[in-house]
Amino acid sequence: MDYAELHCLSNFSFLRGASHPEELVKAAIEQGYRALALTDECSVSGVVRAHREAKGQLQLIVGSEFCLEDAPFLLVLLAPDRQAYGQLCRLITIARRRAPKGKYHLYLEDLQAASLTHCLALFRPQGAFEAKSQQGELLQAIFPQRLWLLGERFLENGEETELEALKALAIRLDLPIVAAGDVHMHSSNRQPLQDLVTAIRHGCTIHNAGYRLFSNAERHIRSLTKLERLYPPEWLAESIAIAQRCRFSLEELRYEYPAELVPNGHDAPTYLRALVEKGAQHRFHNKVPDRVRQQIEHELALIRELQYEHYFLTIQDIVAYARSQDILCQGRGSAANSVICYCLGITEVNPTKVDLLFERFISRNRGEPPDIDVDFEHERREEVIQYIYRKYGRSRAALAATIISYRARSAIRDAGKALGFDLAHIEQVLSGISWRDGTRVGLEQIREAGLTDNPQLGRYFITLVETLIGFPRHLSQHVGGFVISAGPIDELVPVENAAMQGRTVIQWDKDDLETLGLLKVDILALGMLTAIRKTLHLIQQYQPGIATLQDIGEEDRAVYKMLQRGDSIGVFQVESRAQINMLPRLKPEKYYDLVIQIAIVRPGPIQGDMVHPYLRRRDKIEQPDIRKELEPVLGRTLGVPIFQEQVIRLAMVAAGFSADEADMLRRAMAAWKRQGDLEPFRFKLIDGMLARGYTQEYAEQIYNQIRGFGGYGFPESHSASFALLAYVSAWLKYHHPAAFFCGLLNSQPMGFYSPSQLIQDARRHGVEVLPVDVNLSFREHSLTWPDKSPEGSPAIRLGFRLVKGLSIPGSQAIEANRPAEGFKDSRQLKYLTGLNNTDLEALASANALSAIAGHRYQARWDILGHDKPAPLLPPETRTQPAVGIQLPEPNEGETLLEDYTSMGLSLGRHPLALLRERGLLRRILTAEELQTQEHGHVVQVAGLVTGRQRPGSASGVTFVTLEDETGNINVVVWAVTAQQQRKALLTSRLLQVSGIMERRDTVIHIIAGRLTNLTHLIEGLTIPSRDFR
Amino acid sequence: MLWLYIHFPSLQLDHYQRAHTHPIPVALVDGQPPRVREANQEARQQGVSPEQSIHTAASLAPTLQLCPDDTALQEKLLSRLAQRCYHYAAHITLCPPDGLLLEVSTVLRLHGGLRPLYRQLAETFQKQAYQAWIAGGATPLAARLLARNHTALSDDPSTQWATLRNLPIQATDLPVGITDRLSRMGLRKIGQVMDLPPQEIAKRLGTDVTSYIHRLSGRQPDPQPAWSPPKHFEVHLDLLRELDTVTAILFPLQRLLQELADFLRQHQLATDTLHLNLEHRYDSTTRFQIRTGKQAHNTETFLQLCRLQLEHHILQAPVVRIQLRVDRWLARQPDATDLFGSTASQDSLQQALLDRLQARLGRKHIKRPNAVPDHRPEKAWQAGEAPVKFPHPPSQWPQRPLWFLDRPQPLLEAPQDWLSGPERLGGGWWDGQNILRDYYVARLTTGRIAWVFRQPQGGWFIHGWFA
Amino acid sequence: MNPLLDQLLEKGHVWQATQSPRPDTDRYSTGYPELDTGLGGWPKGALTELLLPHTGIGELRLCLPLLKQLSQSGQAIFWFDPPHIPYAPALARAGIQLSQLFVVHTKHPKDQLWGMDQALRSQACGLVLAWPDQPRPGDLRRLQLAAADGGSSAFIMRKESDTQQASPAALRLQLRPHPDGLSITILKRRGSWAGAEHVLRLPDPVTGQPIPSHPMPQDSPDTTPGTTVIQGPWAAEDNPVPNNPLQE
Repeated sequence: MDYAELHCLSNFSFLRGASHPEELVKAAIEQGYRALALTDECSVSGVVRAHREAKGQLQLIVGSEFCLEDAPFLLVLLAPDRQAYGQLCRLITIARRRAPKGKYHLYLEDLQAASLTHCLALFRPQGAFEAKSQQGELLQAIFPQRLWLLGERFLENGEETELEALKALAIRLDLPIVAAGDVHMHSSNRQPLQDLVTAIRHGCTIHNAGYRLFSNAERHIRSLTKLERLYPPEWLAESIAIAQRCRFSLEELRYEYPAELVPNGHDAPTYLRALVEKGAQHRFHNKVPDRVRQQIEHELALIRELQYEHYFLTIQDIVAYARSQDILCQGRGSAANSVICYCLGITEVNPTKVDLLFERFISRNRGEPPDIDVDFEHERREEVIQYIYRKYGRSRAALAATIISYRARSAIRDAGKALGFDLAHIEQVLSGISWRDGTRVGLEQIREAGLTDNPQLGRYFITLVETLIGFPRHLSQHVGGFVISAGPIDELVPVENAAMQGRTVIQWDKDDLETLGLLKVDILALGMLTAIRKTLHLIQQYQPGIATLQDIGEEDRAVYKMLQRGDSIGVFQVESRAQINMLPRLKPEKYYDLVIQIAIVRPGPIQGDMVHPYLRRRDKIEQPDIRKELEPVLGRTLGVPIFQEQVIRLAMVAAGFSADEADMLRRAMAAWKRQGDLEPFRFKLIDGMLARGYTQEYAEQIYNQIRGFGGYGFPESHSASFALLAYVSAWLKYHHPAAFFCGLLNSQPMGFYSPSQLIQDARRHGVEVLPVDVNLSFREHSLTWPDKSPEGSPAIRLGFRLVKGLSIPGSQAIEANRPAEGFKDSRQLKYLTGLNNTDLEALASANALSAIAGHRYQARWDILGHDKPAPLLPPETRTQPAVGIQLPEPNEGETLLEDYTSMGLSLGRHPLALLRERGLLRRILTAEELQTQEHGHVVQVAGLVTGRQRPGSASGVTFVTLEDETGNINVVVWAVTAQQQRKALLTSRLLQVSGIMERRDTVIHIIAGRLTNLTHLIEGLTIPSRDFR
Repeated sequence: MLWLYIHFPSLQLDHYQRAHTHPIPVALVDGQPPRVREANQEARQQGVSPEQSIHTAASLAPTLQLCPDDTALQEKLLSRLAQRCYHYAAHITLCPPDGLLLEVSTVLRLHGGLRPLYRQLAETFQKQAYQAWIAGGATPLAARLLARNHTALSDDPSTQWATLRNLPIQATDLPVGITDRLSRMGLRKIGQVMDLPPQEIAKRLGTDVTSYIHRLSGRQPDPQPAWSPPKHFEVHLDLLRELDTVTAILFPLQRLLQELADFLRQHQLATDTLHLNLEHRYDSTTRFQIRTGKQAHNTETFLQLCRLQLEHHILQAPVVRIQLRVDRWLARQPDATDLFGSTASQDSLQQALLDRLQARLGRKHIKRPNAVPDHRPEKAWQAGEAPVKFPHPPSQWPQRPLWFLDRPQPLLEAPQDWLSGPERLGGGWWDGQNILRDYYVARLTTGRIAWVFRQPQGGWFIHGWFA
Repeated sequence: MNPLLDQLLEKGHVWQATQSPRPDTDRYSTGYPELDTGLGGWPKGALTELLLPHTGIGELRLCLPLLKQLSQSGQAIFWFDPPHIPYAPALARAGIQLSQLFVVHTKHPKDQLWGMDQALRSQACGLVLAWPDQPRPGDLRRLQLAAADGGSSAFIMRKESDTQQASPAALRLQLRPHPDGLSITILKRRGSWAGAEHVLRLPDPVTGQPIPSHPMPQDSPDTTPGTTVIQGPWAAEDNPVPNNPLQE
């Protein structure tokens, strides 16, 4: 007997299906089905996964199930050919686009209006016999000779009567009946999960879900024997007949490129070549080196062979647009760092400086697309996106989806709720779980925490949660992956609404696109690019020679010296605590060192224990022992594989992997944490290495390093792009600190540090920072020359953007209406600008009116007392109010409080300085005094807690950063200490630490012993400490 | 006029603690994601404090009990406490969510002055295990602010004013926006604001502020609506730890009965019927109606009665909440005879009939069949005391036999005809009573139509009759 | 009570004052037109006895229309000591207001009698269904009076063997199973004696749908998936046990 299942839902019918598409396909193969149609509800999101699984083993039919808004029957549409597939996608798009995210609305008239001339339709009528009969007639008109009645048996109550009626209907309408299974799960074992998702979907508990649950587990992939027993042979035969009519495969989908990028007289290859040639002449100053020339030819040939010209042209076009708008951008990814991309201006990384593996992204045999991400200034990425929409139209450009799946937390929460556990209790248990050590441990803890004293439920709960993890929940928009097509995109894949107004996403994610070989362009946002551009603009004011990234001096030793000191706050990628600590040890002295620095301070290399060997070799404590043929692969990293590319290369050179095999290894590595399927490569790798004369020991070591890489490996190609920006930002910080910090402050929020911390760092670098002043400030922070001579070093004048509560129109009104000589008094300010009281009070509290209205209390009181401006009377003619009330001036503590509340920072003295002055911090060292202490001494320090981190790489350690009036103090709290003094660690805002001084090179840590909460001292200053960051 | 304000700083927390002899850490949580709103002393000692995420709170105090912040409960508790004050002052005003205002100038002499009255009140609340901050003042607002800020009690008006003037402006009920503005003009104390010309304040901050200050200082009248006690008495206790023996229930119950006795004494009433509900986990409730032949009004009698009735009862599940309700009042008469039986019931005829049947045949022998939407035949019906409504139209219920057999009988004869089936019923994994059966309808040789099933492990059983 | 009066009462020859003779008010429709014709409906304010060989032959389906009517009009229905559980889902499906149903279990016949008496006398109760063990005529008389007093009805389910016992019931029906429903013999009917035997078509026991009076002839071999599966498990060897669908 043969059977094709034509009605099957996966978990992409969110909270309906209880199995992954892959599981369904596997089960169908095991049961010997001839074909399987994946017919998720108004969606094709799961078909690519199913397709990947089914390849060569099972015929996969693409279809979709629908419930109409204005008709009671259930409809399943199948796509027998490419046209039908396009029609199906368009119908889904229509239904989805008019409904809010995650929903769809489909009407009868859509079926009539939309062209569904190629789709096959199966339906389950609903209602009384006459109604059913009418439904059938209606559908017959739409789907002539392409309509079947769904004959489905689940051994449910009343089924026999229904089937009798169905048979009568088939005779009446002269329609065939096809056997189907309304499959919701791949195995009957999924019934508990099926019940659970049903309860979650209905927002009820499993205990009161009642008839919303199915009465049995029959909606699974059933055995042929059983189907044979349940269905008449002719119904079963009909399923095969339908499957045979379906010839469409997702393989047929070919990406068709937008044609408009190639001007007349050119075709894509010649146009690309012309652009590359032009760029090469520009980049290499008309002297293209032979090696570069060869590489260009090699890359162009590869692109030609795989017909990727349009892809490069598309990105080139977007980048060219950004450039024309003065939007900084920088490409990333292995393809991005090719010579061609350098010539096309997609990247600034000179490929002659970095050895990058071009094969990685263009896999000759597997037809997978290259990978280029382009970062744009974060404040202006939207302009680029709008350009894409303008250029290609909304019908041809859409964002890829990100499939949001259940993770441990959400699964525990939803499953717990559905099982009727107490909500507060669930949260309590969730909060007690340490997530760092992976999901399994979390579940173990749940078991111990005893969410329920019902042993049955307890046992099910763990299994249910484990199964639910990874189930898709909804589609969200990918951060920036655009799909651009030649024809309407909704004939390629359905488009639906995203949560963000006016945004649409396609129903596939980037893995799906990759599987089908469809191209996407990643348009990403990067704050540092904004900061760099703003800095460059500021420098223009006094040094016009530095306008672009190309104007920045290469390999500046002084810049590297600064980094070697760990002086990198604000510098891209190397400003985190861990990076700052590593800088003095790695001592970068050239661009490539930065590439390594960025990649090595990551969980992967740290866990794979690659840092220490590298440091030992770099410090010449140990001699690298690299075989000759590995020299080109590992030589530049002293024999330690640090980058993903190196692992791939290693597999090729040392174990004889082909480029494609190596690429599979890369994918497996990326997915290793999830699936753990690295094992198959182990033998191949070790055997390959043994065959090439490596020792077993070395081969094992390499394999373990690959494993250690896990999912964390960082590609050299990304690191190279980031290192460039790191260097640029370090250069700017060193040579133009005022402009650099001003640019950073004007790009907030971004980076690791708050404005307060940035300003302190700026002042430490000798930059003068001036307060907000209604007569001197602008919306943005600006540069100013206190001694009025542009030769002198600039100072930063804080801008209105720092003043909390001051509206943007408010600050614009000040700039627009400010007299050349400035405002005389608060009255004039109020009348000339028309500012409302909220804006005025914000200015007063920020002390921005001190020049014209006295101290902030008085300014506030006075300003509120002014009458509303009467436009007809000139302000000068109005009389002063008679009562003059003098309010007391704020003391220093109150001033500090006001500064922090109104701006989040203070240019005045640090609270710690005040406390010290009051004698409240006896025997406590400042950050500065710490520098002179010796290694191993017991010291006492105190400061505002500005950072509390538990990095994933360091097990159980908490890094605390304290800030006092002289700088930052780094505290390391070991797990035991943290455990014992939890309260002080978690709740202190002002913390005193006594501990042991630890010094390595210039890096100082305090290993915490006793922690004391001193928060009450700040409160004593009348400073609510929450305002400190 | 003299006003007394009683502020209950931790009404709900005290309520939860009351049922327990030992202090336990409790916190009220609210919001999404939930955060701590209030924590009792025990919890605070372990570092729990308001605004903490429950993540932090739970890691600080592993045994912390989290209770949702419940405004309805808060209101109930407040009016319950108002009942208790009825004894001391005739004019009581509820100041939700956590205060009571008493006009005491008229009753001061009765109690021998402010301090004795204060002591009596303090004692009453202490006995009931409620924290209460009490203060007197010349205006309602003055009393309120002094109480809420936990100032020392004073019966000297000038001391009262001095203390009041020295309170921070945040201590007032003025909106945060206003107090924030005031303190950010350097005006941090109530006295500073009182000293400023009212018209200047009104101009800057609106007349609401000046009006408030006037009411505070007594320059403007501040009438207070009087509260009157409710007609029926209903109190409950939420247990943080589930109680699973009858004797364990008696301790917290005693507190409720004491409250009842106080209530009856204050209103000069008695009763002959108590409704005692023990609520179990998962929403089920055991209800007791405790009756006496005679009217009663003291704790001992009530406790005795409850003990008698509860002693024979085996709890079906641990108790999470105890509720005591009385809605039947008798005038308190020392010589009252048996009032039971002769009093005509106000209930409907049906209730009267039910009462009669229940009285003689026993409550548990009269059941109402309820249909439950559950696929498992055994779970699809319930014999309850009250009807349960499920919004299912008739056609949504499955086809089932009218007679259902409590215990399936083995099918001993070969049926004559098989009329329909199989219908497969499988599920119910969540409560350990999962089934997997195939049901058939068959006509037996006797002509009866049976609902029979078979299980995977074999065996045929009759589970019902299509009568 | 006067023994003669007793006897007369028993035979239904004497009308009691409380019983209104008007046909539209002293009868309930049975819900079955042919039965209404034959019986004139169910008597109100009186006992009806149903005598059956054993439970589960269709006796409840016979009463369902009345149960539905009474429960929907807000009248309570008391079941005294039913032999099985009146199955709520089935009753709900039949359109009966479950909130009007009360099932009473008694320990002693005395309690049962007292309870029924109370129920019948109450204005709140519309119908009593009872399964007494061995009702004595005196008890039944008391119930008859109570029913008359309260204007409510009682259905007394009795063993077939009690046919010969005297009874004050206004209506006595002997029920026997029949492939199409019930075979009904009227043993006694107020005002007249009748011995006729009717076959009453009851609704389909499973679906609850009325069975068409002219069932469709089964002209083709039945290919209903449902019926192909169903075969008796006790069939002879040449008629194999049905496949157990529980096994894959």
